[in-house]
Amino acid sequence: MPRERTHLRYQLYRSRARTLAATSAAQLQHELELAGPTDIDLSQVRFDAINAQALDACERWEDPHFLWDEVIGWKAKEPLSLDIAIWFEEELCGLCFANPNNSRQRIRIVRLEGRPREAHPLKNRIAALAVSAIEHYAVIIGSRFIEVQEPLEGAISIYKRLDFYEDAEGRLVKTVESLVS
Amino acid sequence: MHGVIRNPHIRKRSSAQENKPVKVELTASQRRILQVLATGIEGEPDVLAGRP
Repeated sequence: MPRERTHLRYQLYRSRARTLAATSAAQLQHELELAGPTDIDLSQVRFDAINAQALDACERWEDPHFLWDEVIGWKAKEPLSLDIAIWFEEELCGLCFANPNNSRQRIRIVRLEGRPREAHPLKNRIAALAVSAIEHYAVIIGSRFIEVQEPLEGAISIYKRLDFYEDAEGRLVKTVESLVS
Repeated sequence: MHGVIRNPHIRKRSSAQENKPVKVELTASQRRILQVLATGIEGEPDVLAGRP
């Protein structure tokens, strides 16, 4: 049952990418605290799947821009995809869905939304947190590029701060570096 | 009564080790993302990818 094995393998990869992103954030918090007092506790950031708990929390968002429950169907159809719910303690602050192409060379960020309209503890950090998790996933599965699908005009400068650039075909991409051991 | 047999290969961790975060190996790009994460990006819109 190769499909089942692939499904399980990528489930492990997703879980590992989310764990690495959370551990990196906690590591950053530790370094920041060594330097002095901080205004946020990044060790409280959690990365989880978009599951029933996340969808339930999303229902309490004020007027979200997307129907995030659609992602449940996408996940079933795309076994290599990466879904991320970004939490600060028990507060859902962001949701993301990214999907590699068939060759896995390119991962597209299909949807990314921070909790709309209301203030939340991870405001101005959602893109960095999501890209961090996606980049860990990209390294694990051997992707070469991360691409933002349909970035809104106001979001392009945010991605450029995270090393994205426009390629020869005008796509907003980021080259994935590999770990050098 | 038998005494407790200890496995010599299992070492008890000190509390200092337990409090220390696990070190994740990062690429240069991932380290730059963390630098941005530390400060945040002012003016980040709610929708960052996808067309509502």
